[in-house]
Amino acid sequence: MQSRTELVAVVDDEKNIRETVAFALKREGYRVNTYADGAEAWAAFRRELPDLAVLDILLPRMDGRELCRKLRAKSETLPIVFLTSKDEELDRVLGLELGADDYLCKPFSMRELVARVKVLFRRAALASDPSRREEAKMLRAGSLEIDGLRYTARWRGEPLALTVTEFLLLQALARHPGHVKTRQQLMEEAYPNDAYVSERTIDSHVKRLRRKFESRDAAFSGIDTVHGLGYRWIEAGAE
Amino acid sequence: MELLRLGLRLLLFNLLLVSLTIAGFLYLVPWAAVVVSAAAALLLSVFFAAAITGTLEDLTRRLEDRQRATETLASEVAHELKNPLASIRSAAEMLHEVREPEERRRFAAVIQEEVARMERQVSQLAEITRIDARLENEEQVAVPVNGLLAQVAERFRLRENGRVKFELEAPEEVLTVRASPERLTQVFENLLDNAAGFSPAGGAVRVALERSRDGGALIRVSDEGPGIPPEHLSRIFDRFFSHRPGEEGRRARLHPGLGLAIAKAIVEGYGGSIAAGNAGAGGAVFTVRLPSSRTGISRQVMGRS
Repeated sequence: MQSRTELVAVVDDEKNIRETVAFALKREGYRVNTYADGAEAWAAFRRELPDLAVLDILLPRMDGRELCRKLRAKSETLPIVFLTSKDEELDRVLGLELGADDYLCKPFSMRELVARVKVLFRRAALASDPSRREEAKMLRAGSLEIDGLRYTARWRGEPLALTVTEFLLLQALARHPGHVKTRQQLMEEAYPNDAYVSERTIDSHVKRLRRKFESRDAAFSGIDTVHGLGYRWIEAGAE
Repeated sequence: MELLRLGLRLLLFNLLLVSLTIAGFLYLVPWAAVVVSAAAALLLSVFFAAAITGTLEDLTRRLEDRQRATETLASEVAHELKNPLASIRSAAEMLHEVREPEERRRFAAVIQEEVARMERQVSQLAEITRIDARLENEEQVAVPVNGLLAQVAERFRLRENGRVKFELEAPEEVLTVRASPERLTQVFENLLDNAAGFSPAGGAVRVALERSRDGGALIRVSDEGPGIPPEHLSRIFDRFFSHRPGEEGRRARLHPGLGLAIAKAIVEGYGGSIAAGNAGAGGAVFTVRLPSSRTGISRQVMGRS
């Protein structure tokens, strides 16, 4: 077992979920604190900020959205992962404004969650270290620039605030411009550790991804829906 | 809805044509009579069309309401089942990965516990969705509330075995309501179960029965627990609403949050009402009002939309 010092906070009112997530993360060597409601978590965060937070959306006393907003006000870089039991809840709740770094729908795969936590720690560590720019991990498709090491992307030179899932989807699409990726293929790339993701989940992530581009560029049309097949990336300027 | 209105307009137009044709047959009748009969026919058809449209609109609206209620319930259920599913899935995954027997036993226990919870949710759900239909079909008799409350309280005394006290205050006179005794028992079992769940060890649950001003039965169930946070009062009877502060053990698992919703559905089905509040001295108070068996409750049951 590697020994890490990062502290992860897990906030969920479901005792079994909370404890299983804590168990899995501790096995990876993280320090873990668990909280059953938002107010209890916030009281603890005011004393000491965790290095990463896993939050349920519907929480007693202070809900996950408010907790996320308060955390964001204290730290702009602290990685936040949401767990949610309502797929449609995400559209309403997690727009561009909340600034969560990723979210997984219940019942999520524990292996996937652990993998996401690792990615987010890596992304956070590299964000503050601009020196290591590995050209091999850079991908360019027209006006899009993807940094596979940092899990970040830029559109026309401007950074996009993408969740890890959105980043993985975008990377899968942009790697082969013009080629159609089926939902099944996208699922495998965006959720490499989870065999049961619904196709609708992919659709709603793509919808949010598009919206993020459109907020930068109202005329954006780089992600094309191919009816009955899936999605493809279209080179900017080629349309 | 639009199509319906168009159809009605066509019908109206047809009626007008028919009346004019009839007037044509009566060609020899003076012109004034034709005008009068046509006008009368027109008025009549307008009246009927309006009446039909009104009825159909009402019917459509009720169907839409019911459709919406079904959709809401379906999404609540999907949402509610995802939490136990998430626990089961993660515990099952961990079972694959851990080797220590003690840890494995723990995850197996999580799976069993959550499966039992889902089973309970599903059966309570079947219960609540059929309450409307069942109440109408069940035989209603005059139930003496004093005796029914005494029985329920006694069952809970045995169940809690001294952990919580159950005190019953009832008047000398016997108050009766029209209901199915099993349904009414279910109402008070759910209320007492809720009160007992929130009671501290050694606390008392009080059940007080009295005659209400309109001659019906007024029942108050109060406990010595933490009370209901004011922000939850409006949602306490919602399906799946469950808030158990500081409660982490097995008890919380046993409550999928449908007991109070079921109690409310039954009480309202009998033309009564149920309300939740807090006592001045702390603790929650649930107040149930049921109409007396002498006033026609069955009418209210049938009249429900």
